[in-house]
Amino acid sequence: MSQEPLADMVRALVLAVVAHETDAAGTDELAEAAEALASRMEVALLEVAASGGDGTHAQGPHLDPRLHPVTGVANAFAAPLVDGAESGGIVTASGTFTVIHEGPPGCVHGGAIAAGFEHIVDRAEGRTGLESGPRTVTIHYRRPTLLGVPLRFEANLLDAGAYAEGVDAEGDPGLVTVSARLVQDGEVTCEARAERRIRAGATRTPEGRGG
Amino acid sequence: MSSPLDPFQVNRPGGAFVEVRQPAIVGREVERRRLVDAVRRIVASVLFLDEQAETGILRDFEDLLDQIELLMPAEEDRLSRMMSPLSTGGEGGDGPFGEANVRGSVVVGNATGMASGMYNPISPTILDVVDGRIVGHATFGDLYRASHNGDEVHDGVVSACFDVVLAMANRLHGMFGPTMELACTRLAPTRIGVPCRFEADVDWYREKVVVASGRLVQDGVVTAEASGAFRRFDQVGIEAVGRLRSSQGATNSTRKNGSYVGSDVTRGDVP
Repeated sequence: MSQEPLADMVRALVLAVVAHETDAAGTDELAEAAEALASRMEVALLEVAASGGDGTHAQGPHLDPRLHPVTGVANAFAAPLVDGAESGGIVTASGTFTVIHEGPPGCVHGGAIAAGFEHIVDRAEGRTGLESGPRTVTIHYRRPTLLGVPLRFEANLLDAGAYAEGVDAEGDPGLVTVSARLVQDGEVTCEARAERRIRAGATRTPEGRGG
Repeated sequence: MSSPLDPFQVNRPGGAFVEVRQPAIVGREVERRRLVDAVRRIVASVLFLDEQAETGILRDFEDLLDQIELLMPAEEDRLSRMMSPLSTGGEGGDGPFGEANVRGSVVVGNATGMASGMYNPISPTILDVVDGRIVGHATFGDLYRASHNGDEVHDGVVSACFDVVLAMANRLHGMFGPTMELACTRLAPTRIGVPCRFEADVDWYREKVVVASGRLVQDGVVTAEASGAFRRFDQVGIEAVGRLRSSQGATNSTRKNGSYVGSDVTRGDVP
């Protein structure tokens, strides 16, 4: 059993619930077992609360990286993507999507791709100290992105000097941009550009906000 | 619309029934909804229980998983049986794709989709038709929380929802196809636990492209806006995407149960 036994199992369960095939009687049997398990888990949660604990999240659930909706291993909504170390002015996040995140048959859902881009743009902005705020992320879907095939989101870090001046690479004052791409099997399947208007000099200490 | 259909109760006991013609769901719409509802509770519990799980819970979980994993089809078989998501809401009606129950077909939509599929335990949104336009209802919970601010929904979750809300606006007008471009603008934080309403309409269309736009309203405030360009697929395009996936695992090109299985399409061939 891995270090995240329930997390691993719940992702496998969601996948199986989406993809399995059985008749009505068989489905009813599964539903009965799932309802019993859900009730048991909810009772266990109440017991944790009654004992004065707050589950696994001593600092609050939003600070637990396991629960992140894009990278959290305990969050079934996430693929999950795995954040890579910053290198050469690029941040990355890698993963493999399954049928849970299927859009067109056999392909990753456009919404899952959008979520991945929002995350990688968030990381790129956060590394240069840009506060969360209004922005537009535009994604161009160039080719189908396939399920079951490893992929990698990449984003260029903001140029710190340009950011401090409130200009983008083309010198447009007040406009800050991040470019990003999704690579699968050596091909760029999607590209994205994030744009924000900021006040010149509106910096803070870079520390990464992690989406 | 004057229909008594409650989109939140479709295919639940006491709720309206909408046929879902996907082979894995048809004939067990109510039972499958019951299963998915239970798994939603499990998914939510795991967020807060992982390290505290008792041995008994883990054992029961493994038993359930063992049972259901035995029922998983081979990937090639699953794809060969997939039908277009247009195939829902009955047949022989005057809906844009011949649906008998247009509103029901919107509520069911892509039944196993990650953003609005009532048969996918991670989906946050319920779609509906209100006064002739597509509306998406969601009250985002812990599963969708951004980590940098405890009260906010992750922008990626909002974008994922817009993708389907805009696509469904197209479908309501008889147009269907994958996303070509999606632009989402975050205007203000979208909060956890507060009901949201996505709204979307078609802006314009040409022979092979349709553009729709929408907004997300929470407590009377527009927190996000989106615009999307989508390919208008014909049946050839839909089949090409299916064959693309089949080419990953199959070595022969054959036709099975009415769908192609085989290696005769590459990415660049998808229209």
